[in-house]
Amino acid sequence: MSAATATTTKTDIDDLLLAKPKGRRAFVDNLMRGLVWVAAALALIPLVWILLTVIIKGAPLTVAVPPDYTQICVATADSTRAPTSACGELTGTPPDGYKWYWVPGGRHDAVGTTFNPYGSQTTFPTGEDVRVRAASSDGKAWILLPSLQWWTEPLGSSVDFSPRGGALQAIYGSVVITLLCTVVAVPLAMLGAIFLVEYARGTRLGRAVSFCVDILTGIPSIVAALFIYALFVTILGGQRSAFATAIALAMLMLPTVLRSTEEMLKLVPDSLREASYALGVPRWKTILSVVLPTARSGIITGVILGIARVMGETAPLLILVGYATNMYFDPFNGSMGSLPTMINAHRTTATQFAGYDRVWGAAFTLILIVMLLNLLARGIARAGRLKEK
Amino acid sequence: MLKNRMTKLAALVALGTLGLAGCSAGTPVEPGAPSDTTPAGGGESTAPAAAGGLECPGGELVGSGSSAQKSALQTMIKAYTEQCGGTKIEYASPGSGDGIKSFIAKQVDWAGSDSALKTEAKDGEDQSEAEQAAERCDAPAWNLPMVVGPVAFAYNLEGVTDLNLDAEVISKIFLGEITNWNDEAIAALNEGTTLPDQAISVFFRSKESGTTENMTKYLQAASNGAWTAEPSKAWSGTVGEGKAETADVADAVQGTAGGFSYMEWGAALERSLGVASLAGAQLTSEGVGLAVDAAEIVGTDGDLSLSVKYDGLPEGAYPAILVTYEIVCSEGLDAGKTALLKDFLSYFAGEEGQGQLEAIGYAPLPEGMIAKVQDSIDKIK
Repeated sequence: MSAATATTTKTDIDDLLLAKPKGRRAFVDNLMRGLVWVAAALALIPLVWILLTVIIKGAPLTVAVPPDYTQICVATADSTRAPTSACGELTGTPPDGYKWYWVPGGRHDAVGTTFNPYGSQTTFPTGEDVRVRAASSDGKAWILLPSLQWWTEPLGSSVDFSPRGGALQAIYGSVVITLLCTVVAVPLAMLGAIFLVEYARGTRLGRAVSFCVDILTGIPSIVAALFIYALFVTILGGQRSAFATAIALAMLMLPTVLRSTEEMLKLVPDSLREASYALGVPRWKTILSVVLPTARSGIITGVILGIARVMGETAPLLILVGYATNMYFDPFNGSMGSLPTMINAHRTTATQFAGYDRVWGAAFTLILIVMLLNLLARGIARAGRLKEK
Repeated sequence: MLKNRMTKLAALVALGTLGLAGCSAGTPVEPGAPSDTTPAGGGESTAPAAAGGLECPGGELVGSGSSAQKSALQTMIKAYTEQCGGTKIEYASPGSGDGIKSFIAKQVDWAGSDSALKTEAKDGEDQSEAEQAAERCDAPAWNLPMVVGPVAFAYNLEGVTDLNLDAEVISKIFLGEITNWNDEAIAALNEGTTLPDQAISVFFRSKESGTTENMTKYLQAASNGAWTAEPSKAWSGTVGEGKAETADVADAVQGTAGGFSYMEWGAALERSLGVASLAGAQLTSEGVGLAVDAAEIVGTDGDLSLSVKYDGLPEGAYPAILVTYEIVCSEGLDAGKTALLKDFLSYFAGEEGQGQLEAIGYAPLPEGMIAKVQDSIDKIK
């Protein structure tokens, strides 16, 4: 550095201008900038990819339903799909070498591609309310009719290749289990946080509890599930149930909510507490009517983020509650559907069937609910901030 | 502000896809007749006639077990509940072993299984499956054959559409003695077919499965001693990669060049996999029917366990079959559930129920057998 300043010329001074670097410095600067941008873009790829895949594959089924059967014409010699005209009239008898097939809901093949007749009928499907549509000839596509059955009907006895039936039982189950879990976890977490901040700040006991909470935060969900299974089913001789699942999820939610509530309570200035004490207000009343209201919006945000975290947990559901396709309202006995286990139970459906898309529909619904919860948390945080002004 | 814009963007993207989804509904042609009614050709509606035979007591029923029966039961439950509204029937398919355990633990009302309850105790257990089940019911538990599902030996070989194997060759493949598709032993059974130089990737069911048990029974009986292990629900071959469930095994074969495994016929049909003939006998429902006719009832009273023969079958009979049972309490369930179970099983064993099985990769029971099953169902208290 000293050598450079000794023989100062105009260009040297330009080189030193940090606002406008040149030469090698400029190159390194741009390189770094470029690398950061590339890294950010790379990080975005999987995120956007997942989101788009789920939306594209899952969203249609939540607002539409395929007809029960689509009618296609098939050349029997090599099982390829023929143009509809080869079979003649749509309801007539096809000429030799061709056959009408009624394909159960879902995708259909393009003309010229090999057709898989599994689960299809060669006689007209009967039933009280059977909807048939003739499939268009271009490419693999869905024929959809607008419907909100996804949100209003349970899956019921719908088979993998039937398009009828929604996900109400899974949505209901997910909501009930999450609610139960919240009812158990939130009061405990709030009281724990109040204890740590208001009663045990700086004490040995406080530090010990705090340390335990930190460890609990890192417990994998499968371990929590096994613990509850051992306690509820093996030792106490109970049944697997939605309630047991809620308890396991509460174990996961407790440290998250406790930690966030604790941070929020710590942010409440001591001057507020002291002012309250100076007026002769007892400690419990200070906490209830001064500390908690001040930290309210932050606490609620923490709770909602905690709910969003447990909503998609799968391991406790797999171990602690059986999957059901019908509506069962009692969370203390028997099986209950839920969105993550719905994905697990139907993931083995073959891709050409309507049931395959239920997996994506359930994934989409789950993401949608979690996103709404997140937006709600932000809204509450923002509303709280405005009030402080 | 940026967050706000992101939210709007997300909403736009979501709306856009919904719009696209709506567009794909643009091209369909409605058939000549109004689509919501049955056209002239399909006038023979069976629904009202069949509903006459059903009592529809309503209620809830939960079953668990074999995944080989999954599609059959799904279809039966759908058809039954369509005619008897308000009835809830669940069937989970974690495998026969799990199903029987749940049945014994009183978690389910009936179990679906690919093999009858064992009458001999396993090593280290005091009671046999049949005794444990009888204890659960306070009465003997019965095995009722309901669905015959052939075991398909499915392969994934580019350009080979007809493949013929026999029990001996299959045993050697599963024991790692034959590792390539162009092996002389396979070529000898397939004259005129060019077999590629490709390693055989064997897959098997890693969970306990009735399919594995029935398949190994066939191998043991028909392989001239090439298969030495005792038939069991757990895999006893020496090569291959384990996959948990039927669909996983089938997906693995579909996704692996040179893949080979055994599975229920329906799983192979669903994915258009190649299915090998066994010693010249093609897998068809007639071939399976011939093999079922040769089976012998060994159960007593209402119990209808079958003993399947794998050797000395008539020409064209497909030997690797899997008779799947519904395991029920002969008495002891509460009255409401008993009524529903009997009604549901009667529908299953009836003409309409059995008639739906062939399209989804099962073979219907022979008529003589159906009458006996119906008798047993009537005897359930």
